[in-house]
Amino acid sequence: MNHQHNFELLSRYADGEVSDAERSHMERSLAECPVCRERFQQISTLRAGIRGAGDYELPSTFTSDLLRTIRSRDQVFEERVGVERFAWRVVLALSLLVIVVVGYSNVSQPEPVVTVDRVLEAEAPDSLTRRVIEPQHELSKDDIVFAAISK
Amino acid sequence: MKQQNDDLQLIERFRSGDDRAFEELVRRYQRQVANVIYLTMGSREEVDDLTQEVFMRVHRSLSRFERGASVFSWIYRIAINLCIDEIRRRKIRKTMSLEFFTDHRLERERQSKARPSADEQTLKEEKNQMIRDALQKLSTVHRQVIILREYEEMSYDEIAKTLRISTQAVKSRLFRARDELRNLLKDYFKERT
Repeated sequence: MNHQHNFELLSRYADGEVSDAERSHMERSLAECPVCRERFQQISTLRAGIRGAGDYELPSTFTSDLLRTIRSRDQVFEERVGVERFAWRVVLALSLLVIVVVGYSNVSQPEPVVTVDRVLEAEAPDSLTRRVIEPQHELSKDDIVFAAISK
Repeated sequence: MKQQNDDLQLIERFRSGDDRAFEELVRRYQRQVANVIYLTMGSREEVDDLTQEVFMRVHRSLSRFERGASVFSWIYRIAINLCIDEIRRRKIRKTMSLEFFTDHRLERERQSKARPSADEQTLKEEKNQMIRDALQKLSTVHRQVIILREYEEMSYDEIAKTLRISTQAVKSRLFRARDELRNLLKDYFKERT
């Protein structure tokens, strides 16, 4: 008889994790083999021993202590979240303020308009720039560049 | 199956704002969780704190619990992972400080010498201590599997799901764990027979 194989099967048999065929085989082994019987007995003894060794009793106040700890943790968390939320609102408000201030300053101080007279003020009466630009009512960017280059 | 349905009902109640449902869940599993921790860690110190930490993690994650999963497997997985982290931390501390090991061992010896041997209760406690000491000598993977099987009476499938290993691995680890324990506890078995 292959005992090594039987011991592995015996371990599963003791746990009720065998097929019907394996169970019949194991029951025959147990009836016939004293070594298998001893091993089976050891598994049962060990099981009872482990169950007995887990004899730890929590204090009677365990549940109430736990719930109190969870409540205080939640409270701390909520307070922290509250502070964080407030900080974010302050940051958001400041950002909006900066945007508004920058926008307002741009609107209230428009860029100086470049007029035809201003461009031509230093030009000679018969200059090319004067001849090209003077007939126009409005100046484009190209006109201003042209005036600058031709100077 | 009934237990699983009851557990799921508790979770549903908790999700709809009933705090007493969580309290019931704690009362249902606290003793078993504490003993899994006790047997895994091998000493009484920190069992209360670790058990509390397990249920705090459970409380934090209950809203994300997936309905198809087994509640007790999930709770034990949290407990076992916490124990593994704690064992790692202790190992680091142990290597960093030789005093820890010496103190721990001396304390155990002092306790065992202090025990009167005649008392039946003391004898029983000595036997229990032999089992706990032997469990401590197993590797973590073998210890987990034997505790879940023998103490929690989980089936192979439940152990596999809890530890996220195959059923085949459960079978072979259990067999090896039992074989190791049989060798470690020769005196224990001799006294029994």
